[in-house]
Amino acid sequence: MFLSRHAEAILKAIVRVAENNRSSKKTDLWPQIRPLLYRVERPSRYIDSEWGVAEAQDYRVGLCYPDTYEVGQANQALALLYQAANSLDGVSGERIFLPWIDLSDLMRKEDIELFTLESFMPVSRVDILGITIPYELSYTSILEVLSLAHIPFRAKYRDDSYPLVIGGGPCVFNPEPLADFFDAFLIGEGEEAWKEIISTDKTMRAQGKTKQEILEKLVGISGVYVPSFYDVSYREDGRISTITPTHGAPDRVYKRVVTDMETVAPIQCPIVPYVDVVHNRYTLEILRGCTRGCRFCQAGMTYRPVRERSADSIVKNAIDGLRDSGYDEISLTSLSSADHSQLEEVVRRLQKQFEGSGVSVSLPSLRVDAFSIDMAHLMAQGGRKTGLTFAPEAGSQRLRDVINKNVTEEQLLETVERAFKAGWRRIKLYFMIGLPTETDEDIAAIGELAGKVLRTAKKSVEPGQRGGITVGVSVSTLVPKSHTPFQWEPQATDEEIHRKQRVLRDFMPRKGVNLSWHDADISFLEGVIARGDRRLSPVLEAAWRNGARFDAWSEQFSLKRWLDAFEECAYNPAFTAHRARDYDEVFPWAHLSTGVSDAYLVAEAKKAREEVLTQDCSFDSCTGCGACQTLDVDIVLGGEKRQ
Amino acid sequence: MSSDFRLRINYRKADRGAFLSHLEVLHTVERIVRRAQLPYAITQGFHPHMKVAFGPALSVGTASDGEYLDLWLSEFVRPDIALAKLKASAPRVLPIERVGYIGNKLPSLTAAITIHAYRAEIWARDIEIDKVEQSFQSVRKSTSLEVVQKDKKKVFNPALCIPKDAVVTKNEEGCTIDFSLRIDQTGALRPEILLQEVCNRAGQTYSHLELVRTGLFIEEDGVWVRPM
Ligand code: SF4
Repeated sequence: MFLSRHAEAILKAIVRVAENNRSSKKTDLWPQIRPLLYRVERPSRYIDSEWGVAEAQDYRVGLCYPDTYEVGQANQALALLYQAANSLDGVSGERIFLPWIDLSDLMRKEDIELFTLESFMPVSRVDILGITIPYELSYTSILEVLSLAHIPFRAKYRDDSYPLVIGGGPCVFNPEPLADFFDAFLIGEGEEAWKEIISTDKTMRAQGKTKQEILEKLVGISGVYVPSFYDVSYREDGRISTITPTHGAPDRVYKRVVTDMETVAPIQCPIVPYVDVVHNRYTLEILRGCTRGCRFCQAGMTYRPVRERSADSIVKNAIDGLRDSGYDEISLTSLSSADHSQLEEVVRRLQKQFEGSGVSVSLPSLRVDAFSIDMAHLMAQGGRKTGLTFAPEAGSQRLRDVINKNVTEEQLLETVERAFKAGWRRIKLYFMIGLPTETDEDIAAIGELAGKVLRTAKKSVEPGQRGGITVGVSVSTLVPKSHTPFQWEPQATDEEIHRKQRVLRDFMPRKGVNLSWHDADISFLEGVIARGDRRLSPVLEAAWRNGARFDAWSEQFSLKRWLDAFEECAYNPAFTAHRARDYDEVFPWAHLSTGVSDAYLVAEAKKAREEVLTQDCSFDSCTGCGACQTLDVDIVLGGEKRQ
Repeated sequence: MSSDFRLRINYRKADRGAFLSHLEVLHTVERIVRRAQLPYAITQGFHPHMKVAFGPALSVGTASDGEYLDLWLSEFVRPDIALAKLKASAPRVLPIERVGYIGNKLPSLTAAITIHAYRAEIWARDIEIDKVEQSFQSVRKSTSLEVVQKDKKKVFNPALCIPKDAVVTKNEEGCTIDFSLRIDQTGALRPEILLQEVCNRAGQTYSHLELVRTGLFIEEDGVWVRPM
């Protein structure tokens, strides 16, 4: 049945190409969608007309987030790219989200193509299509988007009548499993490059240039990677042999980086959704990057170096953004907002500004390791007392040194004591298992640490209140990611993870701790996709044909579809997930660079084995990762370049 | 606060706005008011929020030609200025139509409004409108009407809750039915449930039904008056 679904989509696409006429692109699908909305859940996610939407212009930029409206509309990167597109003359953004299963199924039944929100035009008729690649488990949803849009999956089967399909977002640092489906990827930060890509495509399309000619031009834009311009060869043992550029593409594509945050506007007049989306508030990015250097963290490597907005700019933008959107909450976001060097000043000024108006200021989560409790107190004055979270990641000091998590047990317990004395009653601790060099003692130490936190918390409050105290412990599995010091590490097998989970349960306090796990099956799949190469594309297609979509929604996820797909395609997932690599292995992403040098990553990998810490270059001196020099960018603190 | 100024606002749930839920309308209106930068009053208490009271809720899928809400301001703003600011801050599917100050002592909108008028568009090309009309009359004349609403059995008294006969007109797709309901403390008969019952009894089926609330009224000595 699913095979025919795909075959049907391709057939329709071919027919459509034959009758293609770009002047008909403005077809309005709303009259066909409207009656379906009486039959689906939460129809308001499909009606457009929110506050802040752009007027349609001649050249339409499709911006797709391959998940539901609630998840996608809350995504800040998409909002920034929408704003960037709309800032260009004669250009407008068209949002595209994946309709929930109820509507998708109705659309398939009634043969209605996937639509954009602003104009309700068929997605296949936009001029250029940008798709965010937010997480590994979204890959089958990307295929579902293409299928619903009647766009052939493989870039090589799409002729010049189709929009260029460009991928961007967190997963593009190893986009290889998706290489066959995209015309190009934008590696790194998009605000500036996205405008250059759009302008190039717009001009060249108007001149009647072909897709191939446009792609050859686009590789000249810093950060653009055209996968079809690279030939990959493999060794007999399955490892990659060489990656060779063609068509004048560079040997290595370096990520695009915004050197001065003040030159890129934050989201100014955001779209204000009707539906209660994931983060329903005005969000303002106060800094980019995080150089704490946790060795498992991909974002820490890919967003280097740290660039802060100045306090003045944050306060001004916050006031404007709240006024223009009408939200009653502002969230100051980043990978690690508590690290902003002027955060206290910012929060004090904002709270003074909004006093008595019912507006509150929040940080995405109060990560106490970078955060004084006085600061937490200050935040709580502006509204609700958010939960405190603490991410020791490992139970023992030894293992925390391995992963470069620069916090000690004393710091944690001291913070817990102060927080509970100050009135907090809940704390959540994040840990990982499956870390390199991990032993059962390290696992047991997680339980012991949770016990110490619980006892400290209880000691810090009046006896009468001790009953209400809970410590949340959330345990995920390490998924080694590309471009990190752990990229050479084998991922723990499911059996190992299940055994470790049992050990952990034995050492956890029986009462007062809420223990939660990440699903080991999901982590396994994430691991295969995160370090997979181009040979994974047929597997993604097969999984989609088997019915996989919305894999990130745990109730929709089925490992069986994937295991069947691996078998159908004779792909050994263990080779990708569970194999240790040599330092000289050619990775699928070897031709893509974050600016951090290979030598630095190897050195970090070795320091992990030696249990040696690396300092944070934002507060200490440069540790030599190479990003600043390679990308010609500086650390910016409080709006000032650090000398 | 007795010093607050109670501004009654008349707005529509227009076009695609029909698909908004009551909660979504509530949140949107609060944002409209904040964007308009009106000096709204804040409730006292642990979670201070905007002091605003809405008229009767509308369900998802139902549009409206006239809804009302009361907003309390802490300072007087000229109504024409308040209206201009609100209009400029509202998305096109929730247009603001009129505003006017009303007395702080007047009962709340939900307490005062008892009559809800609706127009239904029914998709059924071969529908016989005489039969629908007669069926509506007979339902209205009965002394008791048992329906299932939200999986619960409920009994209504049509003589009380259906104040008038319906006006049924034929159109290309099917027919239009204009009717009204009286809502009191004993519960609200849902308009789509009533129409389903009417059509069932008339032996008429339809593929699709769309509702618009055409008016909300306060009953004053037997006369229906609009809330502003
Ligand atoms: S080059 Fe030095 S200062 Fe720049 S991010 Fe790397 S370690 Fe930090």
